[in-house]
Amino acid sequence: MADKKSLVDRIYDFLCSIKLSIFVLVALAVTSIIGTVLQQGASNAEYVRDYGEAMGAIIRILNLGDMYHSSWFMILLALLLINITFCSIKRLPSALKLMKDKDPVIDGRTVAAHEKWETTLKGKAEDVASKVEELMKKRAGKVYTAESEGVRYILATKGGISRMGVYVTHFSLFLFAIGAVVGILFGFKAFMGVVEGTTETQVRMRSVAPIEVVDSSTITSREALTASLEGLTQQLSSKCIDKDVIAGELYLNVLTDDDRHLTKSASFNQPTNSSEAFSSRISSLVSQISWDGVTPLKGVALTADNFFKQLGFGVRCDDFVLEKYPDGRPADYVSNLSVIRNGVVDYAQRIEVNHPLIEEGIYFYQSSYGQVGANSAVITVADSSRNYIARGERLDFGKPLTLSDGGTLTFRNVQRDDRSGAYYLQMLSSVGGQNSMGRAFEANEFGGRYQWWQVGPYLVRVDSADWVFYTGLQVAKDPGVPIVWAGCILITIGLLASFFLSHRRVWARISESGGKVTVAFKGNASRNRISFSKWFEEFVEAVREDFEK
Amino acid sequence: MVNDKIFGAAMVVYLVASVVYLIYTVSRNKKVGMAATLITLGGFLVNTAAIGVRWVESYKLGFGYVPLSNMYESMVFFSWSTVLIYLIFEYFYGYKAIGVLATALGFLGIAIVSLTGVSSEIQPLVPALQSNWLTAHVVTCFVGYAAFAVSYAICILYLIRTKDLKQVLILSLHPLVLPLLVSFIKYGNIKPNLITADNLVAMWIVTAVVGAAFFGLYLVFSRADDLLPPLKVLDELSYKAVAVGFPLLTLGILTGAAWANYAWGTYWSWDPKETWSLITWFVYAAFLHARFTAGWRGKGLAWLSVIGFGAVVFTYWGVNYVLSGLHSYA
Ligand code: HEM
Repeated sequence: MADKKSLVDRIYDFLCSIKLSIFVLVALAVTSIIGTVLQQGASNAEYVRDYGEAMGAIIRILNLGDMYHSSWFMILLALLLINITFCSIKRLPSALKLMKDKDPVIDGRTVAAHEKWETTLKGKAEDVASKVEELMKKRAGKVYTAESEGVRYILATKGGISRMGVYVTHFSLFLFAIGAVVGILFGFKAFMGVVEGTTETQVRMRSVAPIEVVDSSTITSREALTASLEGLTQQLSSKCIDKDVIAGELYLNVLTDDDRHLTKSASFNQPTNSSEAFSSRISSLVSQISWDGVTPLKGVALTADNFFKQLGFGVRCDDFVLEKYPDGRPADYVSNLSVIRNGVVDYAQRIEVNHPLIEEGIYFYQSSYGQVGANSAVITVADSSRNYIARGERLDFGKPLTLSDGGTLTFRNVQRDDRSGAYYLQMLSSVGGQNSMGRAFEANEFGGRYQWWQVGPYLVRVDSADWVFYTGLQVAKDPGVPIVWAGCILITIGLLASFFLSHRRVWARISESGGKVTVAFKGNASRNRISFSKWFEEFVEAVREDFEK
Repeated sequence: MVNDKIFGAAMVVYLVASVVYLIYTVSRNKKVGMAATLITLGGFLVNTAAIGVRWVESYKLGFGYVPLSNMYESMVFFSWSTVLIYLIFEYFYGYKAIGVLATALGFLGIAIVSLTGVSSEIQPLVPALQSNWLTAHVVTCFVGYAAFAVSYAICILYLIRTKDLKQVLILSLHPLVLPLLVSFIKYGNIKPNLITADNLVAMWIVTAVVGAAFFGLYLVFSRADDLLPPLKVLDELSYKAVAVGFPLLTLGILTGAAWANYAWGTYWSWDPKETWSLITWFVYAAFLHARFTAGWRGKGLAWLSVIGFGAVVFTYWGVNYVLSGLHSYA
């Protein structure tokens, strides 16, 4: 009767099996495609709009809109690691044994002989053996010898370490996983915009999900609402405290009987370990919603989102420079930053794309920029009959410039044109009590084509503007990165060892009978058999030559 | 600019080399074989020179950079690396039949960019691309892709060598999967982040020609039994090529992650390009395990390598022309 394996054994075998790893690898490859064709991070409503109700439901249930963080994808990744763990536990001991193999006695062993060669010589076994040993030492690695019942055995072994290559490779995958988890638990990703000349001490968090608490019971009186909000406030503030949230936005959302949503928001900027501060923010939100005629309510939701984090130091942007190629395309974005502590500059550093600032393990990457205003501009003005009435005059922000005809121009604001993305100056002209607003782009903005802009009765040309920029910084702290780098180094070493090194063993068996000495060689290589076979041929050739001498 | 004329010359030389390899494989004339190798070597040197000239020309324009930063440059570098890997294989193992397809791929690399009008203009680098990591990233990725291309070429020969007509028919039709897929995405009611598929007609023509060429090779090689290396050798060599490509692709992904970390502070963000290179990596990892540990051999494995190369092509072309993402180049 064939002995049946127990269930535990079968599960164990399954978890060790290469079939499982091939399945998981292929499954990962195939499912990963979904996230590259389906837009990630859209809302459920958008998926329903684009793909219909049924598909929308599937997308929501399987979390395909954020599939690389979905639980089923994580399970696949975990399965890969579990598979590797079991497989390694099963195989590592025998791999270690093979690596350390020092047993020269080939008789009675089952070793696959990839190469074989045998010859018979005259002479004494002793001499032959020492000659062979010499040769093997020179050509085939570390040598071990033994003698038993008049037969001499020699083993030469080389490159045993390569047997560890795959284990190192597989282990490095764990480092990637650990590094990623450490990054998620102890790191953060954020963004900050810093206007030239100003200092920021907070960053806007990117990777913290909103915290929401809901009460979906029907609320028919003001008292019931107050009671419900009290409970929700408690819950929300304890969750925020758990998550170390320092500042952010609060949203109060009530759903009325006739299915209208009313939302009010407020920001909070206190340490959230004070729930009183929270409560007072929330009651001020409540007071902003007018209740008359909207009761009963079908539910209340309280959400905290758009979290900010206190850096513990300040970052000042001293200067932002947009470097351009001669053809006008951006060549580099450069910011001169200063780290400010207790009101004094700790140190200053210039950063550019690909060259971040590092402070307390927090990295600040140059990522974007924008214009927020201008201090002044140099303008040229003509009247309606195209006579110059001002040439190359300096126009300061907010200060009226009196022109030669008695009228004035005031630079009021800077705005961004939605269509072109270019910034323009908003100006107010004032002639004889008649005011009108107009806009003017910098002269070179559209290839010099629309240089003159109508502002009231005037034609204005902005020769140059002294823009104020803000620099957009990507902020990241990721203590997992060194672990991931360690994984990178290990996987490289592991792959090189497993593909380009080979464990080669050559055994010699030297026996004497009837005045004749028989030398038999057997060779085994863990990989690269083609080149091992070439090497073995050369080795045999060398042996033969040596004996012919 | 002069460089694209030189690339054009290299392209022609590769085509000639492919034909001469074919003549050698059929005739077994040693001199022809020698000529094929020398022509390929010549083409390789011309290709190298063209890259050098382009490099110098970028400096003359006032913003020198290593010419590995856009579709044109990476494609001609792909040709260069494919021929390089092939020449190394020929040096070590000496099977010249593989040269027919390897040099043809070298030819295709340059021909496709010329045919589909990919701009060969030298343009200054946008700020994010100004990094040494980029050079390391492109070099490792593309030499890796080239090794996979050589493995693909060998698997094609393997499948031809089986003389199984069904296999050969599938083989001749399989390049059409690419334009079929793109047409489906373009005209089907799918809404991925589609940007463009302007070169669809060219894609149909090129893939049809390639498929027909596979069938033609089958007709030529099936006339005698021993024109191609034995199946066992082809199997071993295709594995070897993957064994070269896999560590390189791994390095390519790692250097890409390092670069992203320096530029954006995020080493992995699951953008389509990253994800597709990971998909490719998974496929070849499956290939290695199937062969080495589960002991697969033969047709199934050859097809797995073909699928792997399909993933390479999609990572490289598909993502650029069908999906949008962070990498708008290479
Ligand atoms: C992405 C994941 C993986 C990568 C990158 C990887 C990489 C590798 C590499 C490069 C080799 C050497 C292949 C060769 O010698 O031709 C190998 C071998 C092997 N892998 Fe994996 N592997 C992965 C997942 C797994 C999993 C999940 C298992 C689970 C059982 C596994 C088990 C093995 C075994 C048993 C070997 C052969 C070891 C030997 O030489 O005896 N691998 N792997």
